[in-house]
Amino acid sequence: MENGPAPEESQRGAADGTPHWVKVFGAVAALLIILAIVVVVSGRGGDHGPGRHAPDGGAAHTSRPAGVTHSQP
Amino acid sequence: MTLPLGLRRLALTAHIVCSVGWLGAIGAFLGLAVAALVSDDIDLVRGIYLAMEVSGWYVLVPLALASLLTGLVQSFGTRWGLFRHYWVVFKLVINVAATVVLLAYMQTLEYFGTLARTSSDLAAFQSPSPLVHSLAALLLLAVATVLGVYKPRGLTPYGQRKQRSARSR
Repeated sequence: MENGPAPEESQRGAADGTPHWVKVFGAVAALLIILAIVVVVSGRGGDHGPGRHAPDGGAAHTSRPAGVTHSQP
Repeated sequence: MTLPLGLRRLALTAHIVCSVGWLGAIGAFLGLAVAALVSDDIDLVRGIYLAMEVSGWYVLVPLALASLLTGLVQSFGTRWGLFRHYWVVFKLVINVAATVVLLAYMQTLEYFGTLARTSSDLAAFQSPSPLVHSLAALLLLAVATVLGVYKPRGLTPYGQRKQRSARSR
């Protein structure tokens, strides 16, 4: 982000209306969000979350093995 | 409220350091993820997952939060504002989304960290998940960096209203 004051939009071009790049960005973002939801819901990305890697469905994640003294910040 | 020039420069420097530092840390994380995925040395892989967990909590999360905080200071301390320009809004959304996903993903890294302390089964570690997440994060933060450098024009409806009211004064 620039340190100085924001330039007047009128000096940089038309301020009214939604710029083309915003529409493209918005469309791409919406597409990616939908894609991520589809991947998670369809199960193609596996069971999402920490339990996905656990053979017991994540139960082991909740109880640390004995002797593990890791402390979470 | 607009900050004095000296403070604005200090805040900008802090924001760039935190944001680009976050991007660089994810680059290093990506390298670890690739190494863990392709290596068949279980000791190396376990060490990598431990390093991922530690660097996640002590490097990635602090840098993400610092990037968000310094970005907010930049927004409120300059005339750019937070919701006046589309590029600022997009950067904010990217930063918040990446931070939320990172905090959620720390559970997975903690799981792998715990596994690394107890398991010698190489198959248990062969997950593309860290690679996929770090690639996505790298892409998102690269886009945010480009937005911050190029600052494409475009006022939000709120920004247009503010500009009109400023002109009418």
